[in-house]
Amino acid sequence: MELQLDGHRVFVATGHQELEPGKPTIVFIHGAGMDHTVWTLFSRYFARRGYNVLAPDLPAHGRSGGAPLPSVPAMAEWIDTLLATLGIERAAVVGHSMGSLVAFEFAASFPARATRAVLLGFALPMAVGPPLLEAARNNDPAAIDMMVIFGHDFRSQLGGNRVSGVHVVNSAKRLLERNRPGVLFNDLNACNDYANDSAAQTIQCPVVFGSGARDKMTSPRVAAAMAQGLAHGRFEVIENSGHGVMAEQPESTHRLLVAALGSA
Amino acid sequence: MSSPRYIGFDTLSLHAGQRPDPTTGARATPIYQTTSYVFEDSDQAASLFDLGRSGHVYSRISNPTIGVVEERIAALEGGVGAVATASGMAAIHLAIATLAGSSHHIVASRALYGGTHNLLAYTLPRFGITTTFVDPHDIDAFAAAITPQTRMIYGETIGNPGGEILDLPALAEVAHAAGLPLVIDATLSTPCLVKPFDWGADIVVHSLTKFIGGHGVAVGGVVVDSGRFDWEASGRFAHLCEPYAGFHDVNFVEDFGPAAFCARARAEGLRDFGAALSPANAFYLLQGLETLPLRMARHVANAEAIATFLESNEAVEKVTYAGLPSHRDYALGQRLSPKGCGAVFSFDIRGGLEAGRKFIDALELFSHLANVGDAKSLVIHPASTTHHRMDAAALAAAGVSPGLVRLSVGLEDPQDLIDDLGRALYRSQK
Repeated sequence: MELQLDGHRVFVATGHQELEPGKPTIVFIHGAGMDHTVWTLFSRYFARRGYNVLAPDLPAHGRSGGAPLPSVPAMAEWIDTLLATLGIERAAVVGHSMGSLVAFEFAASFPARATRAVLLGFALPMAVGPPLLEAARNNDPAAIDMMVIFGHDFRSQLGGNRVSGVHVVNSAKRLLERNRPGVLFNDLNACNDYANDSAAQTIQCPVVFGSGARDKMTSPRVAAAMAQGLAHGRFEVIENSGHGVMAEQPESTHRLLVAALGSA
Repeated sequence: MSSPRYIGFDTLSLHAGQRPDPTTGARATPIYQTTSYVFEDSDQAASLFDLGRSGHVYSRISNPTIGVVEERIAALEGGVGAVATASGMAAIHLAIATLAGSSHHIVASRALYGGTHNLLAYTLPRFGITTTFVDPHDIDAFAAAITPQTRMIYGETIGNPGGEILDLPALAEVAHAAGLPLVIDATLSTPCLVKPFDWGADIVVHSLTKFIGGHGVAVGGVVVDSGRFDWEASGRFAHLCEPYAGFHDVNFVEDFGPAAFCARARAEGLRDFGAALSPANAFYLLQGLETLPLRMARHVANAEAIATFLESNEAVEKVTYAGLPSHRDYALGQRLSPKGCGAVFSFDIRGGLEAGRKFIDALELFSHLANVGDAKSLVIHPASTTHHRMDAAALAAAGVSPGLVRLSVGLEDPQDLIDDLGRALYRSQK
């Protein structure tokens, strides 16, 4: 689905199903330098199980135009605007990595709108190492190398993907290579800068955190601690996975999402 | 944060695509000799058919043993994914059928394997796909042959049997300027010697039967997707960029991004044409893949020693091997394939056709058969076998003379091979 938002083209994957009033809605929010394709399996699944699915490409990502949004709060506001534009009042938000921060911020800033949140590969603060940030600032391909190598468990780098014939690391690399100059740095910088000390007090909806047991980019311990601090927080470990849980362990991620989001 | 490093080629050859079997702990990849897979429940069954979950449905489309081959080759080539097929020819057909249909056109190098030439010149026209063949050294001729109906530029890393080295970067530039993918058969180089994606190619095909298997016991092929070609921007591949009614309105470019080609090749090509690799053959091919880097180094070393020997033998008129300075593509080969120009090459015997026959019949260690890339050394006379459907003009254009002999140099002691060739050359002149 394509629409205009703030004067720019926006692409939103819907699992190839029409949006229908009255159905519950799930918004899938991708991570830094990624796009909606990281959610393809999940968006197709839920779109055929009674949900409206929205997997947008954030501005300047994937098939969406415009300039990249400079901060996590700006991205959360953009999600709010997207929902308002589509006439959707409430939605569950699912995010990965930077997208998990956006979903977290959305749940905290728009508590009346968020029905549930699933935060995959979450940490707060989400500090980005200076070498990675510097490489991204310079549009140095080394930034992509760092992201895909540190972002996947060693065993996932070797392979053994459930999706036949698809190489997880090379797929992530190609997706990152597609970014316009500056977009990856913008996203990593937004992650690095994000802070929200009061979110735990304002989030009302149930929140499920899912972290790869071998995540080297966002520590599972940090996500587990955050879950404990929320009124309705729960933490799940995704075994045999690094940071890229949807690609590294698609079935475990599927089960986590089904358990967290329920059936419509 | 330490410096990131990708896993090395030799390690990937052994491990990529496989984890020890979670049920039994088996270290080797098990042969999943099954046609189909029990669904967990009706919801999982429906979601597998809808592409809403990962998993296997039917071994024509995917299989765990075959999946290891596919992922390992994708890892070695640097691709986003791969689709294995029943043979190398099936891989070429799958690549073409995924990109082209009736009324479409291919621009191909003239220096092709005879089977590929048959497919392009004689068989595909019956299905409305035509090919213009051009001199592989004439990059401008590739550009000039492109029409609005062209859907790919096609060639081989190392020509067979002429050893022509295709100028991949130059050809990629021509292809991409026209919005076309560069499809490369890299069978004779393997990713050990040349990684076509590093030089701008978009799709790679292999006959796994050859060096990658190496043992000569299993036939197979594979198509690999670089994930770099922009199918939408090209404007020539609407079928990849629009909802496909044949598969729940999947839009391959939209849904699979960089892996669009690969996804379509599997979801449509394997499903409908059905040229799937068998799990048992996949297992055999994995045994070969494990030692590919070691074998290729020895293949190349032996080939270089033998080519040098032949060049100095009085019974030999000409040796056509890009690893020798006498080959016109020597410099290009050193640039694109610095680890060596493979182990398949040809030479002309003094005395033409009759001497060629005598030579082949006198060999004792080299096996006379229609294959290349075996661990054992092989020999064939192309004009009477692999290229026999070509007329004289096509043979000449492909660089095949009546007395041409093609060698595929194996892993034997190089001195034993040289002795065998020396004896046979001597007898060929009697």
